Amino acid sequence: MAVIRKAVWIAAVAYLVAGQAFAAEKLRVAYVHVFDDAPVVIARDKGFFASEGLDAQVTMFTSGPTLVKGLVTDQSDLGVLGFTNAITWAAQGADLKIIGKVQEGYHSLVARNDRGIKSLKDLKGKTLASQAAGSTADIVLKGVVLKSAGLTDKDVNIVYTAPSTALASLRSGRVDAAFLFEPYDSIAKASAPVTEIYEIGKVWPFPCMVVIVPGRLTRERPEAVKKSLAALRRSMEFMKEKPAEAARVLAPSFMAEEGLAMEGKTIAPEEIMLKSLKTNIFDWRLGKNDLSRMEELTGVMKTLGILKEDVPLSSVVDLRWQTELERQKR
Amino acid sequence: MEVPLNARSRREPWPKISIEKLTQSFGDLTVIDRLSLGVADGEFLAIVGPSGCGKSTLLRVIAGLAPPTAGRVRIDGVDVDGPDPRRHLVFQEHALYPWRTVYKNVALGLEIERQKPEKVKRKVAGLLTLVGLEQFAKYYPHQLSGGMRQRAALARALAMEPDVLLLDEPFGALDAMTRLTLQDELLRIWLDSRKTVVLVTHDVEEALVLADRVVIMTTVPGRIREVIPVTEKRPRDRGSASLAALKRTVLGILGIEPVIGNVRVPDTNFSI
Amino acid sequence: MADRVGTAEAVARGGAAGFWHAWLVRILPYAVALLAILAGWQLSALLFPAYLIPPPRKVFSRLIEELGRPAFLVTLGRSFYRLAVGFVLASALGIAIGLLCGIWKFFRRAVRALVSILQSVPPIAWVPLFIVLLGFGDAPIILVIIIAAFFPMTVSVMNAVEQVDGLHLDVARVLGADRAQLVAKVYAPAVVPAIVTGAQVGFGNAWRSLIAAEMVGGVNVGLGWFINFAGEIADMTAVLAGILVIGLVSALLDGLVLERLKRRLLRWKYL
Repeated sequence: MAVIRKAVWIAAVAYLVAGQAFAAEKLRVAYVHVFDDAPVVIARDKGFFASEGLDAQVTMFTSGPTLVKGLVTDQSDLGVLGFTNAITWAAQGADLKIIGKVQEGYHSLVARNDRGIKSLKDLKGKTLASQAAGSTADIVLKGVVLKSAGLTDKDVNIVYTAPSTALASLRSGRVDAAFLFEPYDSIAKASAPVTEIYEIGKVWPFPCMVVIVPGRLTRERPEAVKKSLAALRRSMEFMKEKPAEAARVLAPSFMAEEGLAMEGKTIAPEEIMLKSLKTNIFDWRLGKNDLSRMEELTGVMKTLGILKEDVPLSSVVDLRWQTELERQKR
Repeated sequence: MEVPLNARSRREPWPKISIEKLTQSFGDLTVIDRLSLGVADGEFLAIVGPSGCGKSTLLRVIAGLAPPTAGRVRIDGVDVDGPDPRRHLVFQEHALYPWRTVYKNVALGLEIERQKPEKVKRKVAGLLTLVGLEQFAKYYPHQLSGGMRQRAALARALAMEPDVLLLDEPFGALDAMTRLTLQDELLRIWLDSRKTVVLVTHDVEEALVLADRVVIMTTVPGRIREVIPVTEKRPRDRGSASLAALKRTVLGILGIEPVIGNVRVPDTNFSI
Repeated sequence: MADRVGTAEAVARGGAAGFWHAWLVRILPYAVALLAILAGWQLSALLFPAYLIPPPRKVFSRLIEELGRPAFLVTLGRSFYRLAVGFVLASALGIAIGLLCGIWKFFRRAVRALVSILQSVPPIAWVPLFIVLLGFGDAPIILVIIIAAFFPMTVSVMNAVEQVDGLHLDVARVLGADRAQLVAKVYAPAVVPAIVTGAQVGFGNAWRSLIAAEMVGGVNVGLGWFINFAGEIADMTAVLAGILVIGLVSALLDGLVLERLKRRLLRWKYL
């Protein structure tokens, strides 16, 4: 009798311990509802998080600045968003780390054909729709795009709206031009009389969407950090190798509202997705060029008055896991 | 009941106010039933009766605020077809405008007539002195006592120099002492100007002290029960035996047993 | 004549004693409330990191700094401009419709129905629609303000007109007033208190809707926009400074301007 009881006890303990080893690690993942963050959607829907042993609770946000507040107040563990959000909060004293890249900035400036805007300079005095004020896209717009044409945000009437509203306004003619990213850019070109007069990725590539985590996570759960980067890398490789399948997976998330919004022309949502996949550059590695661009943009933020003091990049960027993953090439 | 038009007038042989077979109904309810009455020019007529017998309604019809359902009302031989400052109605609630000072309230009618400001000033000053409110010209109604407010209402009425003064229980809401004081005031003013006055009141004694004739009305439907002439010279002694006798008569007609001393007609509904 | 004079204690208590008395009665409660808020704030600032909840001192000095900056004053001025235009239009509209409702029964019923249906929609819910209809800029904001401030005024005036004392009208009629004089001498003064209360409620609504609408989008200047932008770039100090401005402006405009106006117009009630 005593032997059987002992055996039961050992089996129970072994089961619990083994259970712990196989239990998936919980992680609260947040992303911005833009095509730039497609790898997160792929990782979720194709099960890449799960296969790395992560039980990811994925939440969607409407803008980077909104998302980062969740990181700072311990409501999210990991976020994919514009990198300037880490800088602004780090400057105030928050403990955030940038640990990897997701996408290179693709924003195109499209203008209505009937407004006489042929180049950036012609934007003077016109109305331009941009995204959330203070977001990475907005900073790039003011500090790089407009600056390259010698304009400031006082010379152009900038209105800040959600991308779908920007699109509708462009179509109805309420704004003369818009600063858009995918898939809105492709939709606009397909459904409105607009021309692209500038695309930043062509002239000034910069790291836009990055992976940001609270410093606490890097110290307490380094394994989780590594696993999430690995999952995202797999997503991006998948998107490169099987774009058609990726397009199908992404369509419901990004095209649900827009599919019907085209007047008279029926364009398959997946077609838009494929186009967007081609034009965007998804890469999981932050390289030297990326880092120097980030330095430049930090300087721009200071010029625009968004940053009051300097923030040394080294205090915010932590590429240990990226290096580890690079070494263990699958 | 048909009442012969009292021809005992001071100036005109014809009645100033002539009410002929007046019927007033509100929907199914007949408040006044074929009432006929004549008021001579310069006469002081009092109307007493229980509540709800149409006394107030009668005054409103005479004032022109309500058109008669049937019958006619004539003043100076002309049918009454609307309100007119020459026949002013003083309400029981003073109805002073709370946002106007006493002065401005009294001046209201003159303002409506668009009189010249200097004339208005003179008149109002005189009236305020007449009713004893000259010190309170700049006060607002809510700062005054009930008696003072009613005096202001009287002054407002007199400002229009109406031929006919209709008073709907003007002292009903005041305390006994103030009432006596104001009754004397009213008498004094009337003796001075000899306007035609129709006073509606609950207070039998008040009617007997002031009026030439006292009309007793019944209740729903309102009709004239009796008309009592009072011939004693004014000012009358409230405590006199003749007055007391008249009072017993009136109360008897109204169906009330008097107790020794002063009795006030209570608010009850009689059916006679 | 043993008449007593009514509540004629309009004579203020003279001199210094009167001043301190007024201070205690009127200002002390406000001061206590403010101190309580500040204490609570300071406490939270101690518990949370400074980048989430900056302490009162930091926010106050930032506020003073911003008030010295022309860009901030321009943004504030724009908000005031929108408020002024919207509020004035809303009040005029509310008074006009309220008066009409009082006079014309059919109109009153129709407006009543309209009010009960639309009143429940929060004004800023209209912003996206108005942006689509009117474009970006001041117009949608002003329209939102009008909606927010118009209902209280209309309802207030409408009720006041309905409740005008019939007795007062009778008096005027007996004195020979014609229709126009009835309106001028009875309806209008009777309605003034309602206009004032309608304005006070409407103003609160207008101010709140203004800020909210500016935050929802479609503009690039304004106090609401300023707060929103500061939040986006992690500048919590500016956010709280903006909130402080909201409270201060509201208190000033209501307490000083509207309250004074009320006392002037309703002198007869307060003597």
